[in-house]
Amino acid sequence: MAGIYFHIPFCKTRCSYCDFFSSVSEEYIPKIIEAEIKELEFKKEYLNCETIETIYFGGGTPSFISENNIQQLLNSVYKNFKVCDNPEITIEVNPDDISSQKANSFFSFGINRVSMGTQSFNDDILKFLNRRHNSKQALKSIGILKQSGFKNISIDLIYGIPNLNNYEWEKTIDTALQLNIQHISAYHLSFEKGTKIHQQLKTKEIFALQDDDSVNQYNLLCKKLKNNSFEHYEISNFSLPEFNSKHNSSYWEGKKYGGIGPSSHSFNGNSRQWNVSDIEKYIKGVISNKGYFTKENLSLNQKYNEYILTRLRTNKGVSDKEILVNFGENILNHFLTEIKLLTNSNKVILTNNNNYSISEENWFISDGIIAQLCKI
Amino acid sequence: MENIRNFCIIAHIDHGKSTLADRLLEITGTVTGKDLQAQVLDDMDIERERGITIKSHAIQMDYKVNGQKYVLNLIDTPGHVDFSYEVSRAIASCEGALLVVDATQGIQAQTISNMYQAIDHNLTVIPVLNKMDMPAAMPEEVKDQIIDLIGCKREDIIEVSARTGVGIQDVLDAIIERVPAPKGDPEGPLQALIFDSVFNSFRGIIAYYRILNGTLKKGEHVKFVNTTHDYHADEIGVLKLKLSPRDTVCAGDVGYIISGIKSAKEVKVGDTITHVNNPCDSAVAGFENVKSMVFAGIYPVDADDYEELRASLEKLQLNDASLTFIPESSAALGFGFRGGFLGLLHMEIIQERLDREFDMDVITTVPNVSYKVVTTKGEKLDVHNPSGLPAPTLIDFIEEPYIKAQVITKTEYVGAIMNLCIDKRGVLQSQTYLTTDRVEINFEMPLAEIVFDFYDKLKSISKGYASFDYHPTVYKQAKLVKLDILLNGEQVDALSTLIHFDNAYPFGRRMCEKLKELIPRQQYEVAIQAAIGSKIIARETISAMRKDVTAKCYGGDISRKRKLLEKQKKGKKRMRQIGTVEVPQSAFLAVLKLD
Ligand SMILES: Nc1nc2c(ncn2[C@@H]2O[C@H](COP(=O)(O)OP(=O)(O)O)[C@@H](O)[C@H]2O)c(=O)[nH]1
Ligand code: SF4
Repeated sequence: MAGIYFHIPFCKTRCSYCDFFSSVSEEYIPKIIEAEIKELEFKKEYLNCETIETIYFGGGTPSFISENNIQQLLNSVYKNFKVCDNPEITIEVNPDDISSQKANSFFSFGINRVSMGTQSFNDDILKFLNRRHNSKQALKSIGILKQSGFKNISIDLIYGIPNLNNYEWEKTIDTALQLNIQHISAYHLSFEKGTKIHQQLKTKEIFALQDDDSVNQYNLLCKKLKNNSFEHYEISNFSLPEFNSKHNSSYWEGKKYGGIGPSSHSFNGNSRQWNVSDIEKYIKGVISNKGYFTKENLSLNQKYNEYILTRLRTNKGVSDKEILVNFGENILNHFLTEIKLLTNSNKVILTNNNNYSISEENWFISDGIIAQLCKI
Repeated sequence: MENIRNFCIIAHIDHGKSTLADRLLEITGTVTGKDLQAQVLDDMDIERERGITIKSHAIQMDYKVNGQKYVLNLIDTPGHVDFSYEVSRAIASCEGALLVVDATQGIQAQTISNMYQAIDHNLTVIPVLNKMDMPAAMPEEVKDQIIDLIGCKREDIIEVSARTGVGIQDVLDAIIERVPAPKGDPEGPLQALIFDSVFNSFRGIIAYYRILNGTLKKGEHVKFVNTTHDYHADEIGVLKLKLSPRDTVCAGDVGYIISGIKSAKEVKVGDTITHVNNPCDSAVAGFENVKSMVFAGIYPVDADDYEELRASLEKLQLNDASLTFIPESSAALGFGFRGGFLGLLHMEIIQERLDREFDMDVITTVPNVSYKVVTTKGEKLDVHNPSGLPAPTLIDFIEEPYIKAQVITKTEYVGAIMNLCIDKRGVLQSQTYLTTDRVEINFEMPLAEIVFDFYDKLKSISKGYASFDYHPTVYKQAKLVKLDILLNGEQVDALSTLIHFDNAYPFGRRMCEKLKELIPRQQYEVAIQAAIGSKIIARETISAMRKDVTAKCYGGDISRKRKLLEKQKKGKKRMRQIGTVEVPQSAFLAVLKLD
């Protein structure tokens, strides 16, 4: 079982916080689509011809390119791979791109999950983030998606933004909850190098929120969503029962995936590889089938570290039995020694099914906890 | 013997001693341009980088003038207070000294104290004014200083530029004319003064000596008077650019001896070599066992490296007898050693050599001096480590070592320097104007006070225009207390200090503040406390880490994230666990960084 990720590296304009690999040069679109279709063929071998369970169009902005292009990519998956009966097929969309026609097309292709980049329902904040849409457009687009038949809709929200006070944040959460959607991804803003806000932070034009305020906003989010029956299944992800993102969960469950397109990552259980973050190099590389990706084989320790780091970010947590089976006694002993300190201090707790997981209130300090458990 | 000249160079750091030595070696043809490694005499890496000579060396030059052949022995002197005993032995081996003064800088404290030693040993002093090629040279002013210091005639002072070579010939001529030939009886019983020794990994210890009386022949049975060990002179010779074996070395000359000695500990600078069969009546006067002045814990960063650290220290000791160490252990740092050093610079050098020559990653703890403790039962203890102090109720009194400190500076900085020294419990003893704007200030103060942040402070308040020199004097009783640091209630032995009661409160407060800066936030709140006995005198709190997470971890983030966390784990591994608190290595030197 495996997943396929298509990276659509185009955006109309750039958002101020975004460090994804994306370009505004539309002229490359046809060539990229062609190259991605070709790369998909190469990935068959890497993924050992596994059956595909999930397909994900991410970006960039997949809704920015034509529906035909999306269809072409999707068809190529069916052509090259065996796809399971009810695959989860997700597309990321921006509110300003959604028309009934587009939404209907997506639905007709078999796409059954939409993730919309709403980010906030406060127009000042949207402006600060340099988003192209306003809150009204977002609300309208959600309506359109529902009308087209989508029953699994996710939105993205961002908090921890300079000048975002708790009151405004609560309003955004409330708006989201009124939309009757099935999934919410909520991210604390981070100031990534090379972004506009990183620059602004450096020049002291803006100031990062105090940690205490960040924590308050996180707690508020957790509380409100829980009260509305959302399950907090990963640090930044919440869903109604049965609506977890299968594709994203596969990253955290160590499943195989093929990432197609510039800057995409792939994983087959033993190695990770990632494509160049350069449109021209990518296209040229794929045509000649060489030099467009970097590969890294994983040692046992590294595999264990990845297991710890992905799984402890989910409410499933990690299991000592799995560690023993997959990584052996030596690593299990290491794990048990380190985990003792953490369970003693309640940073890590035992779940109902005897897995170790980081409790919700400690997820905000999970990097340090996970690092503690890493083996080097 | 008539044609031998033994001399040393006395100069402040950077005044041009090495450059001048190079010129002398060139002009006498001892070295050619090709083997002239920028500066021949400073041949250790660290020395070259720091621009100081740590250990003295010697070199012999042949020089022909007016049909006469002369042998010139240049004995190099270390340029730092930590090594002043070695300087004194080098001086005792000479009849003459070149006093090299930078014409743009004038005389510095270090120069003066070495100068006094030279005068005490009746050396003929040849004043040399260097760097005359520089526009900033102030020859007349600096000549005044020199005349004041040694009472020479103005025309005796030789103006040179070691860089361009101007005046070097005059220096050479002055050495021949003014420095007296050595006296001594080549037929008498052997009496040779060891002024230095070096370690060679193939040949063992090579001792350098000056023969005062008698003649040393290859293969003879000799003994070292103070250590009482005896050896066979397997190889003897003189010191050219390389060792140059001879069958005999006579009174008046400078040479080396190799006799299968493995460790520098066996060869003490200042000791006397004589024959076993026909020994001299008395050893050369002035022998001292060099004592460690400063002590600090040395711990391997990685506990597994303990044995390797021991081996490395043992190897260092082979060529540096002034390094001492004994095993000790600390609750905070595990197993390590308590090192004894001549001074702070010596300690830094050892640390650097451990790193460079042995690739040993070590933590050194806060240095301290050695205290004499008298217990209520009347026992006398030497305490080299605050945690070795008996319980307060068992202590009758404690004594600490004092020094005579000499600072030379410009008039404008006198006030600030006085304040600094008084702050450091110094007592002003004298103040002398060397010229209208140069002052020599003498203090008596506790050595412990210069072990902390004295040098850096002196440097900054004098904008670099202060030179400093010190000599240990006596032990005095002092009101000392042991200041402990606690992290979440756990005492950190490696951070304990012995400190004068009057300074304890402000010091404790600053320690807590500094540690707050140096210890990263943890998953728990951390209380940092300073305590004297059971009394808490200062406290700081590091609030718990509240946010330490990256929001996204999808397919493309996992590799990067893993590497980040692995790096974090490596960082954690380098930290020391005190109870539940992770303490970075830098914190153990916090006390040195107080401002
Ligand atoms: N201009 C000038 N520079 C000199 C002269 N003699 C030495 N120096 C420089 O002064 C610095 C210190 O000289 P060095 O011989 O290393 O001093 P040491 O520390 O006393 O051995 C070096 O950068 C030399 O190049 C000189 O006569 N004229
Ligand atoms: S946030 Fe999304 S829409 Fe904005 S620039 Fe980044 S990829 Fe494009």
